Amino acid sequence: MNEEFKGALDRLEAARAEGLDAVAATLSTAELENVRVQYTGKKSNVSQVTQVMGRLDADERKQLGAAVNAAKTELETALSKRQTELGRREQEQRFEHERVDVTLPGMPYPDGYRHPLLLSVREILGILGRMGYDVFEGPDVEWERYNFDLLNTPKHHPARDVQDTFWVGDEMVLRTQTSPAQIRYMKAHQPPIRAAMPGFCYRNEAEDASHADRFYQIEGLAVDTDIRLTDLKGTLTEICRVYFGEGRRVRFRPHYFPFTEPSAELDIECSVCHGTGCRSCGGEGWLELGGSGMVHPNVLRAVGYDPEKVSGFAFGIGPDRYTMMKYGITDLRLFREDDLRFIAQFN
Amino acid sequence: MRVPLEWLSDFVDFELSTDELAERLTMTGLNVEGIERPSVEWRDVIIGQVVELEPHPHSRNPLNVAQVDIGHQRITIVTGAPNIRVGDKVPVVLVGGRLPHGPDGNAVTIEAKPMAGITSHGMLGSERELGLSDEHSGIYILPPDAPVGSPLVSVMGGDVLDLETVSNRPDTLSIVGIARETAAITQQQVVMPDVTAINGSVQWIDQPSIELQIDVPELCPRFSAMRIEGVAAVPSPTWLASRLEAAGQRPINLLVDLTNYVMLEYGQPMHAFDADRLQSNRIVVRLARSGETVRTLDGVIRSLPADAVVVADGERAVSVAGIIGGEESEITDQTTTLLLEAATWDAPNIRFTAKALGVRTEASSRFEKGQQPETTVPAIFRFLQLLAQITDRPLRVSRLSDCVAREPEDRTVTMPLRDLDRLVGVPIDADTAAEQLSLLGFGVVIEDTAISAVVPYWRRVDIEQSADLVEEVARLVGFDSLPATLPRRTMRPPVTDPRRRWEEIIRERLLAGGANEITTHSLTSYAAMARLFLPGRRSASPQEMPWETIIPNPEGVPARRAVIEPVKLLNPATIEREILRMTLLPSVLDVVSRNLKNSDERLVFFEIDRTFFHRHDDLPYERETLAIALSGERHMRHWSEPQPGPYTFFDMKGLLEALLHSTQLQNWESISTAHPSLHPGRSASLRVGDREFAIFGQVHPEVAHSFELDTFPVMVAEVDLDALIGAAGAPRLFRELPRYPAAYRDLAVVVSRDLPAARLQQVVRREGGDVLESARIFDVYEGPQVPPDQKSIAVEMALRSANTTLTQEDVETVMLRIVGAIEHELGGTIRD
Repeated sequence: MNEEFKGALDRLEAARAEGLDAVAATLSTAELENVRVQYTGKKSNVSQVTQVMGRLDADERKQLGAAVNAAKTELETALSKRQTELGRREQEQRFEHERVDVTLPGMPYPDGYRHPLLLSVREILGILGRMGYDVFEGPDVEWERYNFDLLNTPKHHPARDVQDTFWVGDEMVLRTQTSPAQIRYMKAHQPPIRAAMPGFCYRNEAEDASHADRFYQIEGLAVDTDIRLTDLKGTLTEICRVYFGEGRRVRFRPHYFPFTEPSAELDIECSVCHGTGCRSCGGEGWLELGGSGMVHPNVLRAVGYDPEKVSGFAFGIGPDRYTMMKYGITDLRLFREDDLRFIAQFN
Repeated sequence: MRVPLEWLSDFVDFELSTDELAERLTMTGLNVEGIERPSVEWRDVIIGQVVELEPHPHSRNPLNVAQVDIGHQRITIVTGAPNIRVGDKVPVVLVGGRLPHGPDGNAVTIEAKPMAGITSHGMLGSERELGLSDEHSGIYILPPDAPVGSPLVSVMGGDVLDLETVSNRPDTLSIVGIARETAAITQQQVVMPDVTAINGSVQWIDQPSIELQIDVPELCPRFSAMRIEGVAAVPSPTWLASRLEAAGQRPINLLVDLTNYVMLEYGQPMHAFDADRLQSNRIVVRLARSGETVRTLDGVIRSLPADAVVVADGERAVSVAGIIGGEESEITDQTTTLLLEAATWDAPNIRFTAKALGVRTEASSRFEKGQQPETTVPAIFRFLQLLAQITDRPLRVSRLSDCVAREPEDRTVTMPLRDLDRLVGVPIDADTAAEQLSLLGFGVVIEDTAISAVVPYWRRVDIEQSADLVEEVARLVGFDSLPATLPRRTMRPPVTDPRRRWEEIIRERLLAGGANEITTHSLTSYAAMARLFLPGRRSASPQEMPWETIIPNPEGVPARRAVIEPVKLLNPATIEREILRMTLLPSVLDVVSRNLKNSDERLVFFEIDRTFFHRHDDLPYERETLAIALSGERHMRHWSEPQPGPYTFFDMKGLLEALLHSTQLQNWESISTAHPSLHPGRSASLRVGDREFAIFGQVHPEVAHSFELDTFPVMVAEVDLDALIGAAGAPRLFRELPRYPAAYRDLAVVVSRDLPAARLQQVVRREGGDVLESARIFDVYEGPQVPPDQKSIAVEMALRSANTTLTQEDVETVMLRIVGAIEHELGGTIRD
């Protein structure tokens, strides 16, 4: 056997063994990278073995080449395995280092809050919208004629209490109800009509826990060839079912409003005593939600409709009252203080 | 209206419990607001009589020691009450019994307590302690005929319903009226007393009671009067006094009490004059004379408004008709002859006069709703009947004087049967409907396709047409028994009004941006609005302030035919709420200020509401307006950023940009502007073209001080939404995504410190032309690296062609153009 060939094989074996030991001894991927260069690079002992190639015969060359490739492959396998091991270990260490206190609060993504009154307005208009009601807004400052006369409340009508109305001119008032928007809507449209008319109303009243001189109202109006009192009852019942949720009882009883005939008042059972009477409902068991009725023939005539041919219903919803009943708010004054601690509770 | 059930049962035999009756009345239209059950409260109250009374021998306090007869025994009661006398009948609670309302309003049990050495074996009750009223100055003295030793409830204290009455049903302001309703819902008949049957010693004198002259027949449809001699203003018997008490009327004396009693029972207000104090027997009903005054029963001298109707004894006005009597002819202890008046008055006239006088009485509140003439004479005879029954004196009664100046007209209303089905929604047959109407007192005839009904006189006020009869039938059938249906037609879905749609988009954007929605009052004062001016700039009269400098887009107001003047209330309730606001800023700043007391983090608020501008001869211009305010720490204090710092001008501008983006408004610009409320260097106006639609900036510290906002800078914006929404709203159309890559170039430009960044951007955009996709300012620097009075602005540009990939050469050509323009037009230099 050629001495040189034998010597090369010995050196190869030594380099291979040393390389494997070096790989096994590495403690970091950076160290491993050095070992890789040292034992598998062009100047490594393993590669240097091939310097004798020129002096070997063909068969030996073939054998030595195969041995070098085998050694390189073995070393590379060892390197790769070690790389995986060390990589995983280092990743674990990095993760440990990156550990956070998961109990710390998260980053704030603050949304604004809707005012509870306007939240309810939106909700109620949404319910009405799904029933096909068009939304129309009349002006806050109204003609006396629209606010009263055309609503079957002529000058000397007992229902027109001058004390309660803010006047801004001889024939101009701050609307005391959203009902004048009915007149505007009916004058601009022909039946069939389904309209919801929201807005602020004003009454010259002393303010307390349940009264305000400015309050929100949503007027509902349906006029068609065949609108009946039972439709009014059904519509209001559905609004309450969706807004308050299933299971809250409402009742419908006769009342009086000048612009409706028959007229009705809608009551909802007290959320505290469920209709048996308690302190919070004044012992009545029921709380008034708002007035309604079949549009008075005089009102239909006033806008040029024929009460023989069409009929309609109208209702007034007080979203502040609805909100109070829904959430158990007892003081109306909270609605106008705009205290964030209050506003933030309902979104 | 308070309805003692024991009184009601005189007229109708209802066999219902109190709760059942209350429920039935409520559900048929007479809402019962409360039920009183004194019989439960008064379980331990008995009737006693004071038989001896002497001052307490040992007490320094003014105590009395009373011996009280309670029927089977006498007990000692120590009392501090100043008003009792020997012989008085009084309510007594014995030791161990329950006093309905103690000092704190709750029931207390009476204990045997020695008072200054003498043990009291019971307690005497005041009106407050019995729950009758708030009166607590003395013991409640019972009528002399109260039976000693009996429970108090044997003479008073049946259940009382408190009814809500509605303005079109004056007939329900009487026991008889409630009895009619009760009879109808229980299918009974009302039993009316025969007032012609007068028992007692009555001698009729064949002379007219008065000589009557009605000058204003249109205002006084009927006037009836009766002269009764031999009367005395003695205390009323217990049954009468207790009924009045239960109905909420304080007993005074028999004569006054009977007028009240008959009014409550029949609904007919009456007035009793002391006939001897009238100057003559001639009664004139006329208009008040200019400057005429009357001293009324409450002792006040009142000047009468024009159109007030008075009852005069010849010359002198002795009562304000239908409202209040005169003091000079009122019943006194000496009265022996009375002139009893029952009349009908014109409702609007009474309404007007009562309002003008500021007087509201039981009488006026009935007359102003409309009383019918049919009740005057029965009421007078009812009075006489009761008086004769109660008094043991012989009465001499003159012939009734009665003048019907205007005959009432009977009314017949026809209800087509189809209206019932059409308006109510359930089939109600003619017989059922007719029966319900006759139970209510209508004279009913069933015709082929209709029911015709003669309206009973007491329903003339509210029954005029078919729909009114429909309601009567429906309410007796019961609204509760009606099915709940929905309108049969399915409507086409409504299209949201564009203004509302934009408003909601803006609202959503602001909420998403962390702003909180508020809603403040639209009534305000000049003084509250004037706080937007620096204290030194406020003129002595706040009306004179230059309001046009405060509001956004002042030119938009005359464009809507309005003026920058507030809408004033003619009858404000307070000076704080005398006008409608022209700006939302003061109340929004007040909200910031109030909330700053609770928290100093993220005080971000917005309000969308109307502002109002006066128009001559038309309704005001109501402008949809948005106000935003930012103050406090710009974030919640958080471990990631423990000291967030205050909001800046650019926080506000960023929020505005976000909402402008959501409205798709193009080509708006922000221009430095002067505003009286804002920091001169930090105030701007937003415009499209030459049209302003918003103002914003940092509130001037002196203005902020007026709102107690001294701790943090405050940013505000006010937006004319009419203008913004008018300019917004290009429909959204899809744009192709870019197909070719963009080239990015940064450019740092040193320019004069005064040069607005927008000017630089404008030049860059112009020169960049179509291929300049964006030019974003990402750095602004002033300091040692640049010369004084200069600043460096760094712009990141994206260049992209829609058709091809730009070559290096293409990009450099554009950049050279941009740089050239910056150097020549703006005198800028490029920093490397």
